[in-house]
Amino acid sequence: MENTQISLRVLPCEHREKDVSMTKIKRETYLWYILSGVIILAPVVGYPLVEFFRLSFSKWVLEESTAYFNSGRNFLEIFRDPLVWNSLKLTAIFTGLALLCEHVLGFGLALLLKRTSLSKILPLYAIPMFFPPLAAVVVWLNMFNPQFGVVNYLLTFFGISPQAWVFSFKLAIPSLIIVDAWQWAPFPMLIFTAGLTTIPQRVYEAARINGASSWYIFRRITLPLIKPFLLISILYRLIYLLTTFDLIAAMTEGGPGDATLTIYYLIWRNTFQFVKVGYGASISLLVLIATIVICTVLINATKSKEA
Amino acid sequence: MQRNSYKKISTILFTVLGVILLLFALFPVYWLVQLSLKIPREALVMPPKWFFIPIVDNYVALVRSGNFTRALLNSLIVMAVPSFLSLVASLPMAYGLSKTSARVVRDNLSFWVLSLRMLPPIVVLIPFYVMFTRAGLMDTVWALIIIYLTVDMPIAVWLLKGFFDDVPYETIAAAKIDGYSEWEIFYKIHVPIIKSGIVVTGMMCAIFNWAEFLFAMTLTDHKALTIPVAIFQYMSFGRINWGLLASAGVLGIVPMLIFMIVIRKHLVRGMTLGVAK
Repeated sequence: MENTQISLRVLPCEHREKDVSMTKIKRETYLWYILSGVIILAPVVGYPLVEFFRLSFSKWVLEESTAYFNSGRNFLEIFRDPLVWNSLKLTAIFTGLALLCEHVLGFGLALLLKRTSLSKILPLYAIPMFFPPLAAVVVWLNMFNPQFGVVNYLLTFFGISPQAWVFSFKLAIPSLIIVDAWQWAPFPMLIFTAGLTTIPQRVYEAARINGASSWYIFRRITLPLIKPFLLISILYRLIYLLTTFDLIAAMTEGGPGDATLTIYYLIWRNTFQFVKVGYGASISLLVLIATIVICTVLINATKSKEA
Repeated sequence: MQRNSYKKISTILFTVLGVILLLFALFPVYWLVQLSLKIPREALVMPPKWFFIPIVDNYVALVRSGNFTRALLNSLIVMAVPSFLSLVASLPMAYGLSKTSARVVRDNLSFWVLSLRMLPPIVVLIPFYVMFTRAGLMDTVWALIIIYLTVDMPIAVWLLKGFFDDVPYETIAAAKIDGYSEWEIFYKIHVPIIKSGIVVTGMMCAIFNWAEFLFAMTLTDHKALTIPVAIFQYMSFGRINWGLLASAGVLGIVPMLIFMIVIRKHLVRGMTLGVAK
């Protein structure tokens, strides 16, 4: 190691591109390294993906453990299934509102902490993110208990009558959003905090000397400079929100009624409870395509902002 | 002067708001811990009992129940084994992807690896469910080890590539001057340089494996169950024993908090797979 550092100093950077024989390892060597990983990844991920596409065009017969090709009849069934349309609506509501709450809370926290000395204890705010989802479910189910829960108890001080929370048709989705925002607002908060540190203090000082108001500074300096970070955060959270399973499976099981039956939980229920494996796979295929489209749009948005 | 007093007031207001939000963030943590220290009769009472004599009976009962010790053991196995295997398998690939000059290979394969991480998990789960059913691997830790590899490897390749990217190219030249062979440049020079990156990567994989619920719940039942599945099963029984549940939850958080403290400086990088550093 010591040798390395000494030689580093005697070798100027300009040699990087010019002296190819010295600074570069043979192309084939790298390709061997890469190939070693591909050889492991391809069967572990590639084969299941092929199998997945085959399944989504098949009917699964439980007794024989075999999938028979049924020429896309699954997709016809999807369009006739009223539960699918209902769950798409619920997924849009849950995902959209949860995304909004997380980011408003996270962005607000990042700005707020930057201004106060609370920034020293920033990691404390991130603790909920490290709750295993099932631990979060345990504590929130206890707190949301309609008769004896502490949430209802605390709300009585504000004159709000006890609510049924996850057991109520109206409040089931808002309850899930509260839990989700509690757990995941730290994610955008951490990303925004990282983003805010990239904005040089001089920019703010220059703006203030020129008499810009706080709101103007926020809109014209902070927001545009933080935009790439905002898009990254939205992209990640959107993908995970679309595939929220733990919260719904353990807190509401899609209920009451179908009030929290999101598309992802519907797929799981169809595939593993009703053992309609082929049908489940074909709904997942549509979700997969939707995810790819959303990602592409958001990634392109990131790129155009950078340019 | 006016500007200063305005600033002071707003700072005070922001601090108050920040403290309220801190209470919101931490209250459930406190609530879970105090639940685990209460006798079941006190767990659900209105108004809540704020002052009580803490007991550790719940933890004792939890450890004594064979189910939970098995879950704890399984959780530790499926946390460590796939993380370690994917680190070993990913290091060469990440190094190759980071240092190669073949741009087509680098960009396309890197994107492919990242997109694997973005797949909805159920897309991977369904075919594996079919394969494990056929192979008789349902309700075994092998099933979980294999399926966690499909998630851990993309995380590992992508994060490690980022750490290798940070090592300057001059290192290779320097090592060559010192007479290292190409293989030695990889494992004697680069791997030690990114040591802390390897730790971060391994822990990100471990965090995922430890908290994962969808795969574990679908592929295991009573033999290979992990802690999240055990908690889920405790909840499904008729009368909920809150003390037992809460103490299982507390034990589930401990490793996560340890990891978080160890990798706190690389948290953002790890969570976003290196997109934001």
